[in-house]
Amino acid sequence: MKNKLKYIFIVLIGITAFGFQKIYADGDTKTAPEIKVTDATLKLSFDTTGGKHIIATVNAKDPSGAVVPVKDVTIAVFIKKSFGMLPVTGDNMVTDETGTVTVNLPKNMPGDKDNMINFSSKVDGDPKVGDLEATGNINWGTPAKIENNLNKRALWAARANAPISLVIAANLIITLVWGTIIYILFKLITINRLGKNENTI
Amino acid sequence: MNTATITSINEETGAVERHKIPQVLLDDLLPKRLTTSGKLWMYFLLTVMAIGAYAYFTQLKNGLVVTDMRDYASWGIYISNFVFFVAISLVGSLISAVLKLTDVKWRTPLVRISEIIAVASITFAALIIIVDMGRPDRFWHLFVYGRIQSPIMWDVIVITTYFTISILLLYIPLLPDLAICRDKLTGAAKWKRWCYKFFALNWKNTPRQYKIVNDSIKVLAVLIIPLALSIHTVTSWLFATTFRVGWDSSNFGPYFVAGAFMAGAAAVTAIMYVVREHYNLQKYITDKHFDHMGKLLVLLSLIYLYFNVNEYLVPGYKMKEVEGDQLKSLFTGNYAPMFWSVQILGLAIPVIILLFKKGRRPIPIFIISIVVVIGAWFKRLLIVTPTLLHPFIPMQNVPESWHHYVPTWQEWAITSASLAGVFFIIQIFIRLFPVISIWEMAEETETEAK
Repeated sequence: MKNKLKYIFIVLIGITAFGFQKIYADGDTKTAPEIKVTDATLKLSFDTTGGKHIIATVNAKDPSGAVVPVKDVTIAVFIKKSFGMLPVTGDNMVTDETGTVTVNLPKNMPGDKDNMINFSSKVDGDPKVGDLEATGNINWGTPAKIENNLNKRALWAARANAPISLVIAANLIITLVWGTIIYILFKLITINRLGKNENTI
Repeated sequence: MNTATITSINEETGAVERHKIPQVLLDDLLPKRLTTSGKLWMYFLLTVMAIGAYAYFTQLKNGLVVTDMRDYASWGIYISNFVFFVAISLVGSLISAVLKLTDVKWRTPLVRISEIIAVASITFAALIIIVDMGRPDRFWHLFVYGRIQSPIMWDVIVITTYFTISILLLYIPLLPDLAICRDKLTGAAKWKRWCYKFFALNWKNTPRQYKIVNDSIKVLAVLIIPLALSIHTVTSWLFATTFRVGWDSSNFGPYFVAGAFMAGAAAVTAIMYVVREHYNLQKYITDKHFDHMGKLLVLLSLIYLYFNVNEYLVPGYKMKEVEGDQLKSLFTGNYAPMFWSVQILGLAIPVIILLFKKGRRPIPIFIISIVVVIGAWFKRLLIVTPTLLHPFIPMQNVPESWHHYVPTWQEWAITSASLAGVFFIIQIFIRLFPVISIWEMAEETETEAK
């Protein structure tokens, strides 16, 4: 009996060891051999097939020097705002077999005065390709009505854009008061002239 | 010939009347040489001004860092002094215009004193603003690049206009007296005789000349009242148009104007006492004048007291956070001794004393006026600095010294020099020209005789 248990134990250990060995051996055989890539690049392009799309592509050189797409790279695409960046890719978009990520342009995205939208895409700390960044722009923006408050007449505007009512009021008061002062100064000239011309009483 | 004649037009009949100027008026009122004490006073003023000039030289050389003004207390005693001078200058409009238009007869001997105070004060108000500038060489930018939307620009315009009208209100009534000086002071130095002749504008006592003078004075008297209100209202807006504790008040315009009239009335009372005693003018500036000025000062002080109650009681009742801190610093904190001294010694006690006839006699009212003027100066400092030291965003990570404002010797020297400058202009004027209008006194004497 003792010997039977001993054999069973040995068989179990053997099966377990074989299983672990099999699992790891399977893992090794299922994962494609890691290809070390160099000189990775990130490129932004635009496509209008079936809508407006922003395409970010990651390519790199394999050990033979051939340019190949890099799969499974997490990419973020942003639209540049006046202050800060607006993310448009959502969560964890990763490149496919062709090394690309395709993002649909959000609707009614305002552009600048020429309808241009500035895009930026980033790969941040990827183990294969590291940090990459690319920018690009295209005139896909909704025409923006930019109201430049600095060009309006207002109390806070530049001197040339003072409120018209203030300009009129100020100039009217200044003209009236200084007009009176100038009138008085002319009267002083009259006093001088009278002294020259008239006899002393 | 030791007599002179003046001409006037009877306002009721329109007839031209000629009056002989009594010799006694000429003897008493024509400018006199400086006495020893007068000379000593001039030397003292020149010394103070020289020290101030040296202090300003160090400020120009090293920049505003020689002052204690920093990021928070960016306005100090220069700006307080500016507001004080603008306030004092209002007395010109009070005596020359308000009392003239309300037909107050006793004002005649005080008109010229008040006008010269106004001109001297407004001159140094303008100069002290330039002193407060870090880059005075850019002063001209105000005129070239100034924005009409800015209250600072309004202040520049109003001060320039008020200065011009004050000069005219001083100069035009002086014309007949300049002619008297030209004709009577023949023994004066050549340059003085030239000045009298040049500035007398060929004055020959003709009825038309008198008519022009009288009409011009009336026009200017009407014009200067809204201007006087504007000048100090706009000065108050330099503060009130900013969003800061203690300044964010719609009460500021009338509050400043009321305080200005009070300070100006006190200043003219103090100076008229000195002039009277120094030049033996007791016949012209009588006890009655001090009595009247005392009553006027009570009225003006009570109006100012009313505005003070409004200015402090209402926010004090609410004690909103930062405003509360600033008020506490005034009521019980660092500024409490100065605040209560100004309110009690400079405002409440003068009112009480001046209510009594004995308090309105020359010596008591002279002392009270000096106290009121000193109180008025410190009051402006209390308006300017505590507010700046209580910003809405707490002061953090700044040197400890930035939490306080203690003027440096340069600031005191320059400020003292500006005060000395005001006295210097007054003194020079009195030395050269009649401090009381001879022709108007002659007219008044004639009218009283009738």
